[in-house]
Amino acid sequence: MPTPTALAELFKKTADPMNFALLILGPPYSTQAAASALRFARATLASGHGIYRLFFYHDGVHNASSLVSAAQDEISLPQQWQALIEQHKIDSVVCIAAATRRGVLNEQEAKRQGKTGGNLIDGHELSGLGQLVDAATNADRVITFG
Amino acid sequence: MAKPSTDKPAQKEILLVFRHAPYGSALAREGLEAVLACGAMGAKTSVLYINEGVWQLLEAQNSAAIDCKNQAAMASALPLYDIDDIWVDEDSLRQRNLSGADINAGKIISRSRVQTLLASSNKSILSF
Repeated sequence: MPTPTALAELFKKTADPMNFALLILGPPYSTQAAASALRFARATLASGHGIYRLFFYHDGVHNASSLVSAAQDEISLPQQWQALIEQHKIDSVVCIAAATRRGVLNEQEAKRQGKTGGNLIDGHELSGLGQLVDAATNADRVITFG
Repeated sequence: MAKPSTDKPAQKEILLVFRHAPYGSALAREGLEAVLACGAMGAKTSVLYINEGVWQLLEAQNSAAIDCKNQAAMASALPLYDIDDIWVDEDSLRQRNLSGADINAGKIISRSRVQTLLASSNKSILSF
């Protein structure tokens, strides 16, 4: 597997800028997948390409939890995602079904489920799998990180 | 930020690749839910079972014993959801001492057909 930077370099060689959709299945910390996705996203934008959408699914939904508390000398993936999303106005969708099962809720959903409070980080939207289908049909490339 | 060109040819097809065993992680189940969403939205959708993913189709599985939904039963219902093609990698079956008689859905294809399937353009590939 080439590194994310090498992959982005590969795509840089194509003539036209492309719009990528990223499907992120891996949680923060446990595996490398989400960290690779973040690096790929940065490299994509740095190479002049666009990001059509981030779609967090499966255990990837934990990347959108504000309750993730990294050790002080380690990076917090959820915080870094949020910074990238804000800086580049990226469309980021968290699958509502996958998130609800895993305890990632916005305020509205928390109220609906009778929970004490929401924990979805600002900048992400809770929505359905239709947003993944839309990304798969409209983005130039979809890359799965899982 | 770069925007996609608007003069796209035909609508992109979606190929969902299943590479993991049916239980032990929710990948198989949530991947199938993604397949159903593709079908429901009218996308041209196909599915490929490869490597450990072929276990998902095993006829003889009793998921009730671990309180899970039966993945093979769900997979065999895919044609009802407008899924165009269900492909199964022949080599993956053979490496696991399985054959067409052991699985309950899908069309078995050779590794070279799999390569063609994965390499064809104008297709988005989602990997579960």
